[in-house]
Amino acid sequence: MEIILKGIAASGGKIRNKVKVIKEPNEINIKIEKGEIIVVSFVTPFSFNLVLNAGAIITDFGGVTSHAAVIARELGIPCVVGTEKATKILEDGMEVIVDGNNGIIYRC
Amino acid sequence: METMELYTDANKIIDAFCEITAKDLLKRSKEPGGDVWPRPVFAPSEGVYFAHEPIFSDMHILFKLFEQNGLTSRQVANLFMYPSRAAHLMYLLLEKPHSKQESCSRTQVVRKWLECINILRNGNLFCGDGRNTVWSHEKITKILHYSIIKEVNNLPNSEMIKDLISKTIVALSWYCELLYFANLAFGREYHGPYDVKGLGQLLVREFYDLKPPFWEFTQEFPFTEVKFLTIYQSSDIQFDFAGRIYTSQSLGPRLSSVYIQIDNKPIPIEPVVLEQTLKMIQITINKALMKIKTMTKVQLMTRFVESFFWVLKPLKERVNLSWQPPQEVYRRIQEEQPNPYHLRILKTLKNYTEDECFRIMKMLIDPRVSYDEVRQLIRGLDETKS
Repeated sequence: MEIILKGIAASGGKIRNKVKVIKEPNEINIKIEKGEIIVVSFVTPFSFNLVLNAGAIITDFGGVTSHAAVIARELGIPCVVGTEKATKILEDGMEVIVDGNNGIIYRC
Repeated sequence: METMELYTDANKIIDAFCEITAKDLLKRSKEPGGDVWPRPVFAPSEGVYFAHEPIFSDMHILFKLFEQNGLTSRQVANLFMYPSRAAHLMYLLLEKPHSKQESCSRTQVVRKWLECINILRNGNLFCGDGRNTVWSHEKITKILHYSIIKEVNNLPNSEMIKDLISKTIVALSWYCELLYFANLAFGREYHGPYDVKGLGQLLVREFYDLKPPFWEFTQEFPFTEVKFLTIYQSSDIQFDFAGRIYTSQSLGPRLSSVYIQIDNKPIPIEPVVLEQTLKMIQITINKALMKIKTMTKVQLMTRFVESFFWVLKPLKERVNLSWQPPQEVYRRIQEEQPNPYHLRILKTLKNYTEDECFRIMKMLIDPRVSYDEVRQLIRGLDETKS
């Protein structure tokens, strides 16, 4: 498996699924399929419906105390934060593995 | 466990506060930033710029009035309701007073304020052992006696129930962020972990003050208070002074027992009830998001600044005063371009060593230290470098 991104391991667990890249963080009406992996610059209040249905979260910014990290640990879903460029590198529909234990994103 | 008695010299407690807070702020500042809403609309620092002077001035007057009226420290502490709610006022200290006199009164306020937080944490002011001990041992015993805590793994649909409970906690937290921005603790107190013999560790999550009048959308919110008693067989949960929790583990799936109370009534731990509860919160959150999306910087900033004054409401009502900010504050938000001093300082921290950053941060948060003294320190550090 090819490593395509590294970041900070913020919430443990591994998941394989398609990604949904959120380019406009303040858009409220973006829909995702349950369990999809959301990729955002950072989690804003407008990401609410996305996060509640996400299988994992990947962010460009933020650390282990960021909202994305805290929420992911509460929900028990994998989360990798502070990748710096996830929203630029990942594309909608791309299938990846998120390794929340080690902060690594693999291409499938 | 720290107690106020340890700090026989009144200044020592402020020293300890500055040291602990500076360490915490530095640790957090090292993380890649940019995730604190309402950025990029405005930085919370800009709200601090408008709120620090009138809030500390109000607190000074209130503490004096309480003293004159013979209120005990416990009675004053109880008016803050929860320790982390009070602790979050610390961010206002990042902006400095403008005169020596203001600095003196702010220092007196900080002493009293720390005493209140210490009382509300049962002597564990800085959560030095990683616990936010809001409840005493006796209170936990009493509450556990009267609350029927359900073991989740024995329930049908246990995984679904855990998922719904996690989502409800996240939704309420999210709602608090909409109400109080980065100061989530103005509407929620997480506390514990408390050891519960034979069961594990109890983490309490209390959401309160969920209908502040400065947000219209709160009128439709169905509850005022929601309380979760959650037990985990093991956890590495740690609290900091501000009441934030740190854990390396996932919480939701590790839940072993739970009790939920809404507006003082227990709710059944059943999927259909939990789903309905979550749905009601989601509806208000979505309405709130629609509203917030259309708001200007000045409108959002006004709500943010009002939330600091809202924290003082019970204190002000004790002496028949209105909780609302003075008109001068509203005028300044409308007309003035915020220019927070501490933001300018924080931006320069990358030029200094770890130890230098710590010294700068400690002086920045210290109510006894003036702008000039912080500048002097920085000038001295710069001269040494050149």
